[in-house]
Amino acid sequence: MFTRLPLLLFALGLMVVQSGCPSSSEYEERKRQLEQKQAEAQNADPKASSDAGLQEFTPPPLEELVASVEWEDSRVVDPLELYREHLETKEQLATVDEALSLKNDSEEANAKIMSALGRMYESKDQVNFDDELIRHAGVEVKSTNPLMMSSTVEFDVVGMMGVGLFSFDWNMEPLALSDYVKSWKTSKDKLYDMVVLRDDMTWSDGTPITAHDIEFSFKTIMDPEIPIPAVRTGMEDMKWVEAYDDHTIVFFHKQSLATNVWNCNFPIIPKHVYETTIPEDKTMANSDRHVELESDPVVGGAYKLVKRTKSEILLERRDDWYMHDGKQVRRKPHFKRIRFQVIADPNTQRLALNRGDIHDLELQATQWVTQTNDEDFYKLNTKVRGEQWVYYFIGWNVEKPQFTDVKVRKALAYAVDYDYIMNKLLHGLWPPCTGTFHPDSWMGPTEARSPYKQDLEKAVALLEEAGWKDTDSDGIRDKEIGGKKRNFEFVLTTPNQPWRVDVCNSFANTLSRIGIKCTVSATEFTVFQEQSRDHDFDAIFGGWGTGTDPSTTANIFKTAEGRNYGQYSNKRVDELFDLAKLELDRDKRAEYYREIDEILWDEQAYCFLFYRSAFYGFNKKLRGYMFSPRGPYHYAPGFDAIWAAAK
Amino acid sequence: MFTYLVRRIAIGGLTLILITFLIFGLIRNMPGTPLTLDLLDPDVDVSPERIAQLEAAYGLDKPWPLAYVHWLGNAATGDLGKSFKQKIPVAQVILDRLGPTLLLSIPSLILTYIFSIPLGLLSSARAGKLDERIQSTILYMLYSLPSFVAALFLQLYLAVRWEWFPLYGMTSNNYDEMSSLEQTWDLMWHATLPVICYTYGSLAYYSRFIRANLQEVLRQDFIRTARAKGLSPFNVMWHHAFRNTLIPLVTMIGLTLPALVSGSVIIEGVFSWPGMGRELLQSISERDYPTVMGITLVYSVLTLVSQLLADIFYAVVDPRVRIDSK
Amino acid sequence: MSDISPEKLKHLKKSPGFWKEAWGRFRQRRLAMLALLVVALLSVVALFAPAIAGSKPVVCKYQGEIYFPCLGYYSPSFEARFLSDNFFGVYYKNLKEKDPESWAIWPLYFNDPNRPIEEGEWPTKPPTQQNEAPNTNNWFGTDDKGIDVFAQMVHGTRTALLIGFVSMGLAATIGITFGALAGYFGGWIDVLISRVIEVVMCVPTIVLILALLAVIDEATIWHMMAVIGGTGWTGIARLTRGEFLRLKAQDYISAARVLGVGHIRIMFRYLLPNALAPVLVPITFGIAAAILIESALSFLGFGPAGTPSWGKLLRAGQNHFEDWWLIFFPGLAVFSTVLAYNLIGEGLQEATDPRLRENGGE
Repeated sequence: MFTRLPLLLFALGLMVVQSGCPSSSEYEERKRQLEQKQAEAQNADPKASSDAGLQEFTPPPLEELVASVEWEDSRVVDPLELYREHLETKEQLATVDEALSLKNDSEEANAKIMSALGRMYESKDQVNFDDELIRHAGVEVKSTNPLMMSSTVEFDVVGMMGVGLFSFDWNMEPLALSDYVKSWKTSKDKLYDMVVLRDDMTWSDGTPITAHDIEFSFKTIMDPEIPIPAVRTGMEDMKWVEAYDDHTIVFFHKQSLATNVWNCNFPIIPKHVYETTIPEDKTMANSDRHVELESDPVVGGAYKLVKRTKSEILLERRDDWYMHDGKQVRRKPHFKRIRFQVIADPNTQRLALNRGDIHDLELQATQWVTQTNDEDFYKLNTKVRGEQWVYYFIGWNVEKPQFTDVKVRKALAYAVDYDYIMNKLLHGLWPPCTGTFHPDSWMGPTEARSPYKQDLEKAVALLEEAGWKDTDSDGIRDKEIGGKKRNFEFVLTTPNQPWRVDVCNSFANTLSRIGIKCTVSATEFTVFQEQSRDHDFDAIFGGWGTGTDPSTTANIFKTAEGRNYGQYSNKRVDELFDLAKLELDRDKRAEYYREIDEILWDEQAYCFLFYRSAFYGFNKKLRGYMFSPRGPYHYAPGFDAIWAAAK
Repeated sequence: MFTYLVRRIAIGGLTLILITFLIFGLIRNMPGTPLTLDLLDPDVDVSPERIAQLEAAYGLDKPWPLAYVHWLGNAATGDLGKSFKQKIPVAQVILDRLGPTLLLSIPSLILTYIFSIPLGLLSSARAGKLDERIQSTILYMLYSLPSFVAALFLQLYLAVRWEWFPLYGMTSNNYDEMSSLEQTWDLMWHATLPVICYTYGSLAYYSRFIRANLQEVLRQDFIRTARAKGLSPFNVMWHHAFRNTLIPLVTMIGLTLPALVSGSVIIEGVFSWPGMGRELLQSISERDYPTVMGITLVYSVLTLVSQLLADIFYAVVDPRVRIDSK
Repeated sequence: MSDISPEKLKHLKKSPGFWKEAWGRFRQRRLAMLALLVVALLSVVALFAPAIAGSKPVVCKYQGEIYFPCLGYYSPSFEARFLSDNFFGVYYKNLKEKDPESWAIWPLYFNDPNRPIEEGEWPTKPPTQQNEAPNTNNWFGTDDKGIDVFAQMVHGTRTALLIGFVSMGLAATIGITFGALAGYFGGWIDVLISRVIEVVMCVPTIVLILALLAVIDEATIWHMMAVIGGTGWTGIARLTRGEFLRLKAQDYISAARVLGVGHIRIMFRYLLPNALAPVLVPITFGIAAAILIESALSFLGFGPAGTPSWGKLLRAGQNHFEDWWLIFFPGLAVFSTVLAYNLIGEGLQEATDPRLRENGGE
């Protein structure tokens, strides 16, 4: 299984909001930021590297390292075992047959179905190991090269073929996968991670997978001449990766950070294949050999690519992944073949699920409520839901005169018709969100916060307090700013998915009832990202997924950071983020983050709206699924736990 | 004729350059670049050097007129470049998609004419009578139905409820194992619903078009003469009247030829048909400049060629039209 | 040369002119007149939409002054008075409470095209539910957002009519003019105009639309119409050109030239009426097609976000096919419009055909 921690950050970030490319005028700004960062890094580590590549570093000999550092054992886990143990603590609320006959129309039914169908198998006879799973993709996979992954589809597909050492469980705790790792030690000061690999792994062409592949992958990613678009988050915090022998590898970090563990994740490519091809084609996309590899890659994961067309990708289980020298050394992957078919239209996707043409589907809220309740759906499928830590918000561009005043932002928070949006438009399925950290997470607020309720009187009172009154009787509030009278008008930008446009329209309509002219601009994703990044907007309706570590939110709320589209700035928040990053004790970190959360809520940096639950339709033959804050697939065991029941 | 052709082709070349120049300028100046989707997480401090590298790889480092000249030079030698997103040559992308699109549009065109001509003739012959009114009304009803609604109904009933046809896609899962004959049948089976969607709407338009022309011709004096001579209605209609409606019909064909390759974004989307329409939309959204330019080029060349053919055909069909008359 | 005696000459009436005659003939065609009536009716609906369906009073007296809140659908300034008194767009209750002497005349149908009706907004109406089948409170049912479909259709009529007429009007004007010039004059004018036609034909509309939407913040219906009209004239131009090429070689044209009739007159009084027949077809279809284009664009996610339209309803219908009324009513409206325009087109065609003027001026 391939781990995708920082990549998942993108994935969810991608799913909801993306960033754009800095324009050339921003180079100066970014350069300044980078220099600033380097200066900070310098304080922590005198050997600060330039960002234009890896600085040369001679690692100490292994024995010296082992002796001089205080090591702690870190978790190496078989995620399926972990899952089984977890299931033992949960009561099974219904039998499988009962669950299959239920209709998921209540919390109770949902719990029953999840608990019965989410089970693992007692004996191998129960599993249909020859099953073909048909999944779908909304768009095509652009590249099968693990280093070039950039969309959710690619994570799904390429992830299955890939090798990764690390992952995290449903509590977002890091772990190393026993499929690949024999042992894992971390230094007490978090500066070193030492991993001993298993010796029974091979690439699909028979070559053994060794630590040298990992070192090579790291060097490749950090090579400034290779235009890999998405360098992994935090990888610039890594100093070095050294393969001491075929199976021992050590990760060197620059600073003592609690987040170092997440940096060790990066995609792994076979050294013996790419060390000859990359020098002649650094783009990894142009040479004939590279093009060949796109349809026939050399992979190290549980599945290999057997067919790739523009509408379909077919993966097949690799026998040499779980067998080695004639013996079974790992669990057998549950499906014989996995097929990804491109289906762009959501309605067609749903009909395909009904017909059994595909076996799983993420459902939209409306589909959950109105279109998956009939016999046509339940003939072959069932559905389940779970919470996810993806939240949506209205982001204010606080540099715009309309939104600089906190009172105004609070007034607008009072204006939203939460009841209508959440209970009607979203059918009451998505819980409210009152901050950037989920209450169930370790850094979330300890006391539940009550969300805003619509109160137009209060909204108007606050607006008038802030000086916005309709002085010229044109039906729109105005205020004198900088000597000129300005009407309270703004454009609310959103990507053009229908449900988002509906939410924005509702908000705009409510605002028109209190004298604010809001125009909804539904744009292409690309344009939305570009405008967000360039701060070229008044307000946006966006969303964020959750990172595995809260330090990733610094990028959103710290002054002048890359994802801080709304240009929010608060010195104390900046300070707190820095403190929390360097703090190793989790409880202390939690305190910092909670304070940040309070400030963000008080100042209404965003108008936090709601969390998006995950809704999935599964074919009745499937078992073993469970929801994490990241959905049912992208964590350990995630997708790997899903199996098809034998008849 | 020869000089005319040469002249037209030369002019066509210039027109092509103008068109591609316009489109290139348009898409290069739209907000967003191919990097916009790549650099998802700006938390990742992608260094300015690396960004410059990526931009060079995408040809973004040059001002766009210069980049255009670069593209033009390559295109003139047959190199349409590589798709930014898919990393395969643009020519390959287009060829991959052209087939599926033609598979839908050509049968649709043929079917449209097969049905519209008799419908138009019939409509003209029985103008004003009740059965003609009913026929017209039904055709208008079909025309007013948007393609995505029609696609929905076809899917719901023919694909899901009764399972007579597949729901989406071009081929079945076991296509590779089929014999050639079975493969052809499989393709046709998959193409049926999309082709119906393509065709039903145009029936009204074409039959009305033919009828309008016919009625106009029928009022001419030479038709009266033919009738006065005692020729049968069929004879009159077919031998005398219909041929004279050919000019507008030729124009129509000229206009629809380019549409053969442009595909329908909606139908291709709903049926997950990997065609040109969908590809163009996606390429624009991803700012995949080479692909957009490649598709535009193909489309433009075809348009220009079909216009030229239509013009030549005018002169052939109607002796009164001199091709370069003043 | 026949003998025309002065007495006979007195009996000859002055020719009323081409267009008047055409109108006279048009009036005799019952179906075409009916269609014209339908279009006129739709225009009335579009014009008076806020008075037909809405949640704001058509006219009311409040604290001594007369107001027209229903025009608030067009501009917020008509509701300015009520803004300062915190009406929040809810009139019935507030009028009564804040000024017992107020009175109001309400729209024929009380429902709002932009939002569901809330509890207590109107004495006998319950709050609007989602996905309701047609009933007494919601004649055409409601959509998945809980908004009344009839009100949306009424307010969407303006879009539907405008989009057809304006975009096709633009397209027809440009197309006929260019086509006529090219076909009639030939030579280098033809070459030039044909090139312009080709360039516009080759630009994929979708690129233009996306470019436009990317650049303009507040894409309104006028922008869409400009794009649809500005790209849709090529077919008309080609057809007109073809007809002019064919017709100008005829004898009566040469005769007119010999007589010294000016070019413009020849083009528009002699040739155009004869060339109209085939050109009318794409025009009348085009008007209807514009509505379908709008719904297709709305299906793909492009276009102005806030205003109700028939196309948006159809799109919602595709997503919720179990709510048949979302497809049925807009579909019926589109169909009626298509039918009406085409009947008018047919009528026009037959009315303008000079060959029907067999009996001259008597």
